[in-house]
Amino acid sequence: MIYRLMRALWRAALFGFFRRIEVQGRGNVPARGPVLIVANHTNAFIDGLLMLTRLDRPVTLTVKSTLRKNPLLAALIRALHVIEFHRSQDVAEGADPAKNDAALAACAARLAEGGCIAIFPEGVSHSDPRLRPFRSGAARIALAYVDAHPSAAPLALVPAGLHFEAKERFRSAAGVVFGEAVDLHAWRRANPQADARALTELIEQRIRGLTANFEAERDVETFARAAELLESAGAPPPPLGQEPAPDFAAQVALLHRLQEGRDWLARGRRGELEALEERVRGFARKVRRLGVAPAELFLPMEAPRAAFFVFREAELMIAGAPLFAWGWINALPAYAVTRALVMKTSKDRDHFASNAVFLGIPVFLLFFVLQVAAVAAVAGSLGWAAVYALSLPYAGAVALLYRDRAGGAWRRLRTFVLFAGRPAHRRRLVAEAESILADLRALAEEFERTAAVPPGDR
Amino acid sequence: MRLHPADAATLFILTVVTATLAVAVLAGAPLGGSLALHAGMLAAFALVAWRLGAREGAVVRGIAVMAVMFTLYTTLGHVAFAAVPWVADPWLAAADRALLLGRSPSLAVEPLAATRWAELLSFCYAMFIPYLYVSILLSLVGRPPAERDEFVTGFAVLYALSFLGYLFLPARGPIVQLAGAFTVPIEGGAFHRIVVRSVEQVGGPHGAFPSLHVGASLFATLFDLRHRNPLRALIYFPLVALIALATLVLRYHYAVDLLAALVLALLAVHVARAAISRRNRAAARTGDAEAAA
Repeated sequence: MIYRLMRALWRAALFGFFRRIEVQGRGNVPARGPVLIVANHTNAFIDGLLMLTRLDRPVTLTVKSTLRKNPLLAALIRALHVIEFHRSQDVAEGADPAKNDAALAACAARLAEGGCIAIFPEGVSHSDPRLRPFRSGAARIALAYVDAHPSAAPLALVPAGLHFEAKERFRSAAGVVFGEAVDLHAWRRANPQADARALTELIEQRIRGLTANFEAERDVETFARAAELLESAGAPPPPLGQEPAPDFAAQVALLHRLQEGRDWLARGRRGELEALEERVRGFARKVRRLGVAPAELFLPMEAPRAAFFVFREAELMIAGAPLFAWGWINALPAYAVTRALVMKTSKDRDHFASNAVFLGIPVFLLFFVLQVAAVAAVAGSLGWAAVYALSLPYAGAVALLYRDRAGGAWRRLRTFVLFAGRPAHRRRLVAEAESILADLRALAEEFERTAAVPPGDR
Repeated sequence: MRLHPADAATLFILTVVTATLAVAVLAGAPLGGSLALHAGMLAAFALVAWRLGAREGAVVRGIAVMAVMFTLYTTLGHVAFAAVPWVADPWLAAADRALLLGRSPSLAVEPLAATRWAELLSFCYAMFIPYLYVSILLSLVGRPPAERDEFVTGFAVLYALSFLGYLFLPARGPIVQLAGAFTVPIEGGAFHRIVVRSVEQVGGPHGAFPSLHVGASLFATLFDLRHRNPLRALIYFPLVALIALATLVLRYHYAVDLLAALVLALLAVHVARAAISRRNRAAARTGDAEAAA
């Protein structure tokens, strides 16, 4: 009951913070039987909440013991039967690694009941461009269960990649990609001597396959821009509201391919690689200065299409303005208080979203109760108070979607006006984008051909 | 030649109407002119459907289907009373009373007609036309071909099924059937006068069952909701709810008309989705077979 209630509240809060949450490969998570989900950890509590809210089956989270110091979190940990692990580096903060045997036993018991556990083997949430070293806890839980229950229902190890467009930004996109499950009983039969380290390596390899990892921060931008160009394929961006759902799995596959290609080029043609990377970075700087996305360079500039765009967006903006205004005005006090609290309490990039969700729920609920009570008192009617109460979440949802759409429309309009006034500049940028795109494609073809030749024949 | 589902629905209703009018004319009803008009529309639309074939996403098909349906909307309501020898108002009023355990919903909402709500609801009732026309325009011009086809198919299915109601259950609504039972006049203003005048211009109340005001606006909203435009759906959903209330308060529809409209709108969305996916799958199979050959 508490789990369902909290799940509903968190779903609402995640809907409020993220513009979009895409889930891919949900079918890889068995609907029944013991499951151990292992994922990368880049957005603190949000990572766990995505697991809790995007799967239909109940999920048990594992957390570090020091979270119990926060009384609100301590209550949640108790209510949701979260399993606490005591890390050695937290001993100074009261962690007791001796209690981990009990935590492992609790995990084993949960799996024996056919439960689903989610764990983040990096052990800490971070903002690094690549995965941090994996701890062996997940592997130990899995092996302890498999060895103790050799003939029980097979334990499915499901790797997951968590993706964030810009994790600290309000109304950005997020995604979960569940990878193919590994039957750990079968794996154990095939690897009877394997220890926790071997299984940890397998877990890391699977998660690495579902996430984008870069050597340095500056590579993130270079690869992201190159991937954006390749994804846009030099075609006009889809109309607003008709954008396909972000395909994080395909994006990761593309980035991996780019990384493979880069390594291949670095082996014998470093000069060519550096020149290409500099061109991509230079192009990225130019479009960023203009405030446009690479795909928007290819925005259609014909007057009839622009007129239809203005008509379609104006209709939506005008018709939606009253509901937007109602939703926005009524949510403004709670939003302002939450925002102030989040800015005050967030020190790292991976705290913003978590703090917004955890602080936002009580703040919005409190303001909701206060505002409805005020309307009931002023109107002197419970009926009107009920109508007002119903209107708040509805108009709030409209206000969020309206804000996203208005932002997109403003961006497109600004890009159109910018390029309409500077057509030569646009032509130069488009030519540069097309030239980079052509070189990337040519290199990709060459790389594919080389990869197809057996090493001995090269 | 594979018939497009939107063409099939349109040809179906035109055939049913023409056949019904032919039977009525044979039975002595003075509907020769109407029969000629509808037979002409049937022939013209059959020609359009034949010329378009199975072409995907044709804007011309959308325009032709809308033109036929809007023409039928104005012609059918009145000929139906002459074409079939019964009037459905007493049955619909009885069904309405059964819905509310013996009390007429039209009379239950009567107090609202004497307040400022009547004018607000008249405004909402009048907003149906711009909402529908803009939805049609956005669907015909601003959507990918497959979605456009789905919209036109759903629209054709909704109107075709609704016209079966207009034709075989002709009714003028509570404003005529319960005229003697209402105790207060509708206290409207400028918008109410516009609504009354526009209803009079199409020959007075007719075609009560089902409510196309509710059916068509709900269909447009559900379609937006299904096709990645939840914002537009959420913005207009309150308007659809108010249009539904307006049809009751302004006495043009029975509550059962609204229920039927709800069912038909859901059905139209579902049927259109199924028909277009089946058609696309069949086209893909044919393409694969041709490629293999």
